Amino acid sequence: MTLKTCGIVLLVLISALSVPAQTLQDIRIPDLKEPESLLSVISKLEKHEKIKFFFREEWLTGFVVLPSDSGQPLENVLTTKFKDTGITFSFLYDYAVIIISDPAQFLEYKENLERAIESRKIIESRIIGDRKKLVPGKVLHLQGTVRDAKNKAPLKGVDMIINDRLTATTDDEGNYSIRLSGNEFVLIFKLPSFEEKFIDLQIFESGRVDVILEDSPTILEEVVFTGENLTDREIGQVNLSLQGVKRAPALLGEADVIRQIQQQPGVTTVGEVSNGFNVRGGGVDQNLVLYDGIPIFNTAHALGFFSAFNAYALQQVSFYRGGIPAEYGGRASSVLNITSREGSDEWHGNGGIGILSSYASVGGPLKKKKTTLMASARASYSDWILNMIKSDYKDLRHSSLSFYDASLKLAHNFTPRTKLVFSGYLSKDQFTLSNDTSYAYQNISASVSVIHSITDKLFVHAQIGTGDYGYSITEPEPASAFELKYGVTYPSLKIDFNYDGEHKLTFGFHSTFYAFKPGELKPGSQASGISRVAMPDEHSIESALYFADNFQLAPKLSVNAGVRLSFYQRIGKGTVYLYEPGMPMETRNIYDSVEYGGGELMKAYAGVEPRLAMTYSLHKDGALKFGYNRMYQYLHLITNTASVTPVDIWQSSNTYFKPQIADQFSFGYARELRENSVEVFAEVFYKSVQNVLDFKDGAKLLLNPQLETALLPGRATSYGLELSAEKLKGRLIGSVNYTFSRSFRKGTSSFESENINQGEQYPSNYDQPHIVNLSWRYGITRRYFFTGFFTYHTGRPVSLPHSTYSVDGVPVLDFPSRNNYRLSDYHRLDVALIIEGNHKRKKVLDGSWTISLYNVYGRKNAYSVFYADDGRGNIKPYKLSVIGSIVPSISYSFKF
Amino acid sequence: MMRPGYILIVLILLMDSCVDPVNLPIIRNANVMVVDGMITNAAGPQTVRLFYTSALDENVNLPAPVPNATVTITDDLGTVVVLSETSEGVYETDSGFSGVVGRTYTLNIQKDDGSAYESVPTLMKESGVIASVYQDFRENVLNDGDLTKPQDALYFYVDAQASDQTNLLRWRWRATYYVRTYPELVTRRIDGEIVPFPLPCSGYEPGGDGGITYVKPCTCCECWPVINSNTVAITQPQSNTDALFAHEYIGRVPVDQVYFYEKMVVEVDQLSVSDEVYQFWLLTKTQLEGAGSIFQPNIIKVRGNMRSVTDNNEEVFGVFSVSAVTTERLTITSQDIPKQLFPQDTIKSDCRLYYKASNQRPPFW
Repeated sequence: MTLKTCGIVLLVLISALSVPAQTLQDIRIPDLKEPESLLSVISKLEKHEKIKFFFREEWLTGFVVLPSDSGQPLENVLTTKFKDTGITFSFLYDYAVIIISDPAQFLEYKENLERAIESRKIIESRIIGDRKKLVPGKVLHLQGTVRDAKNKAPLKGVDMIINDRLTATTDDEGNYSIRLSGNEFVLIFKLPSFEEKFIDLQIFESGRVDVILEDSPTILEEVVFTGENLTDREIGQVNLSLQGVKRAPALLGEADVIRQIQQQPGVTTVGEVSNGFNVRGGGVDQNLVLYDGIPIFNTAHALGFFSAFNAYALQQVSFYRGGIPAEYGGRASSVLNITSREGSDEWHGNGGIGILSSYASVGGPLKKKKTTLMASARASYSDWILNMIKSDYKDLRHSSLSFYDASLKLAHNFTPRTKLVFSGYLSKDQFTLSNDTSYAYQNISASVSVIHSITDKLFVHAQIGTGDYGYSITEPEPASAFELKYGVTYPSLKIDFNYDGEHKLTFGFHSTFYAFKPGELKPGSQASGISRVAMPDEHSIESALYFADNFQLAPKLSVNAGVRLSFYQRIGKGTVYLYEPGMPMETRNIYDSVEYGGGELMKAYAGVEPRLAMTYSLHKDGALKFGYNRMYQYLHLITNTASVTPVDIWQSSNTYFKPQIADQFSFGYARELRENSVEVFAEVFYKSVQNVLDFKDGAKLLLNPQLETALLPGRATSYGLELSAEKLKGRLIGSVNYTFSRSFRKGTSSFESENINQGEQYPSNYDQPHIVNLSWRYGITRRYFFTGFFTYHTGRPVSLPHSTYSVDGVPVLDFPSRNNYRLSDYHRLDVALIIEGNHKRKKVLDGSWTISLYNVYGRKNAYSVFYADDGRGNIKPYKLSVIGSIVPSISYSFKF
Repeated sequence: MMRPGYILIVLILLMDSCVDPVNLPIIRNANVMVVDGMITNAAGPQTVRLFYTSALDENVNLPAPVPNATVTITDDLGTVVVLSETSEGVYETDSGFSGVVGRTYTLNIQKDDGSAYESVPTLMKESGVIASVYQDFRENVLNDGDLTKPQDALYFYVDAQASDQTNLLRWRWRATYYVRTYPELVTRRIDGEIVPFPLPCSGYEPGGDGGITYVKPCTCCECWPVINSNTVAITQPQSNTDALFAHEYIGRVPVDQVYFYEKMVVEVDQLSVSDEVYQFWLLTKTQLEGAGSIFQPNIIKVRGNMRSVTDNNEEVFGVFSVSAVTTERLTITSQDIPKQLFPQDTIKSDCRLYYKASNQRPPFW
């Protein structure tokens, strides 16, 4: 679709130069007796007037000039006719009329169609009317009814998306009605738990498109807020776009879900090698990370450089940082719900090769329409990198750092209403250092679920599962050889019901049994001077009943209200040490102990956890939101380092460690702009957590049978404001967010000597008041994307010493208080170029390249500050930067 | 036990991380009194040093002393020994006084402003035996390729056995070496001409055939500098009493040619320590090793075994250690270094100043 070539235009221009001037504005429509096509009027004008039109015939087919237009100036008539048709015109040099058709709408249609084809959607073609009868510029009416394939019942609430924009939603009778200008569209009809319907529509006169939607093969997994508008989502909820995760610039090219979470407003992290993330001033242990419903304790590979989930094996990632629904519990701050991918009805696979690791996944039907399989695996080969490094340090050449993870999902449809799903996940990490200590840790989860629709509106999801997390440290040096082991195994049972109606109800029962092995130290060799120390096993049971109702309280007010009743029992066998009343809890003040037999109840706790999320629609595109949740957390992560390390211990609540109780209030305003292509929101929150455990100065945390002597319960409070804007559509998409938040801790005891920071409130390790994140993806062409991410946050608090002294030649530092200074601010820019394969539909392998630069300007962001003797008696401060330069990488991924 | 430092090294090389000096806000010194005292069963004098903490930008080896204090050591039989101030802030017993295994000792301090301090009463326990002390040469472990500094190091190890009284032991060592300087070769430029200017302590005077004349023995040509251990070497907390300790790393010295002109003598002390003093060293060790590690504990407040008697809220740092001691010597010569060492430089200086060393020949030399 191009205009006549410039050469012809120029020729005409030159030949016309000798013609005496006459203004085009003077030209009028000739007298017409009856309506005539614009084309014939144009040829008349060209014959009688000094005027030349440049156009393509098909643009003007259908335009008619009426007798009433006779004598009107040409300019006015054309302006009226072309209004809202995408056709424009301009005058040139007093004799030429250039008519241009705007190709944007057509291109958009074409792009949407190609994208649908690419994602292997089934596309139905519909043509309404005859192209020849087209009246250009005429606004057309399209209406229709959407019905359920099973019972032909009309479906309400079906989203109708036209050329990427949510345009309409069906009413109670399943009807929709819209006005369209233009002729070619890709229509998508969407309703959770139904298959999306794609229609390639060519419309030349008003008409009907009736649609039938079929049940989606995944009955329940999709019943979350996929694709919901911001204003419809409850407060504090986010769905991650996995496509976005894969296209984001990543450290060493590893697509990383946790890193994407860290870019959400209200989320912070203490540095590169930090395992996990901090949500709204909460600890890393306060995040419930579920993989197909089973909690995962350690979400990191390689000490936190990478997350333990292979982004390519995931179906959906939902993140809640406020207004947490009643079906989730057991952690105080946030929920990250990860659902793995299920095999589809055709065999597909993908894989990738990166600098650090490679992955492959394959999925498809074992039995058509009945049984599907999805398997994926990822493994690092960084030994290779370590061994490539030229170092004279012998130990290093024999060192290794490795990790792998694997997942398997089997789904079997017994009947269209009953499905059985098996999901398994394994991740393992290891550091081995020649002639030195090696560290290893692993997560395992496995579950079997039955998903059954009892009626068309009532579903049940029953799951039996188990999880396991453990680590070990091994020292091979014979004289001091040892092995230290820690582990927790947690089988669970969950039954969840969903009722879909005017009131969307969720209710169910969860129970988890925890078997902790809190630490065992064994001599690693005959000659070892280490004696065996074993902490007694600890057992506990955490259960919950919950009920929630999501309904429309008033036409503009939707409410999701619920309550979770949680119960916790610490059961024997075990020992409770008794401390002299009125004395600090110290080993020397133990006066007795009580032994409990196997299965005997040692301590019980129960909690009532109300949950509330409300959304009030202000107008079409804006909403006010409110959320409140109370959460009980019965497990505590015990650490004395700023970031989480593989050797931290999880401690279950007992006589001395009460459950953490979090109360969070959040309030927000959300608005969609520019036809839902831009989402903005502002949220404020206040959170207070009781019974947060803090370590006493110099506490011994590992292998301490009287751990209560090392820890002090305290209170954590945080508050903040989050602002976010996100552009979802177009060539350039991206988001920018800013968070102001503070996070404090306070540890007080009835004994002054035990108080932390003299009993004063002090900033927590992750108190980073100002955070700015900016990310973008720009489509240079349809295959080339330029993506980037910039982050800035206030340096995290650190404890610095005030003075120093030396005893018997050894320097000692004195730290007067906790977190009394801050590291310098952290900022970093990452960019990536993504080259995707060509978009032909039929090809064997669809490959893409990712070239990324992490830390583009090579900033040495401080991870920590420490003091060391410079060898001349002067104690000098140094900073440790974990990543001290730009890190380039390249990776290749493919799918088939 | 665990050495997170190594993990750090791996990650450094993997990710190109780095450690850089950094400027931090000037931090006010807390000016707290520090006690660095010890009584052993070895020959006296037993020494207690009292000084104030240093600010972070001051030299930790030159702290402000606490003079004019009254310092006494009392045992469980009621015997009181008064220490006398031999130099500012340094208090010593008679050289004939030493501790006895089985006795309990308490340190008492009264400053001239009236404030008083005391230690936890501590029993002196047997220190066990040192089976052997030996070294291991390791190449390219220091200074990361900066060839202006030594690259290789000698690592010291002990094999030892604890007594049946305690498994809490600490090792410290002093490495003594010999240096020769030539203070008689010092010259001076007068009116553009270089003329001999022998230092008075060299025993030479200007004049004579070679420009200088011998008058008396040199007192600053031969010195015996000492390197003290500055790392914490202690037994592991989970070890047995009566335990055998094999191949315990106790520290290292850089391999600098100057140390091995003649020989290096390493004296290793094996000290029994009380629970409180062991905790002090354990925390100090964690603090030292945690520095620069990604597992750096957030804060380590090191507590000693001293407390204020007059003001409950006043802090006092350091320890009074009551330790039996077992000492072994290790002699290392250039033959033990599997690398070519360069011949001695001709240092034209006073060895006492140049090497900050004593000119007193040690008794074992």
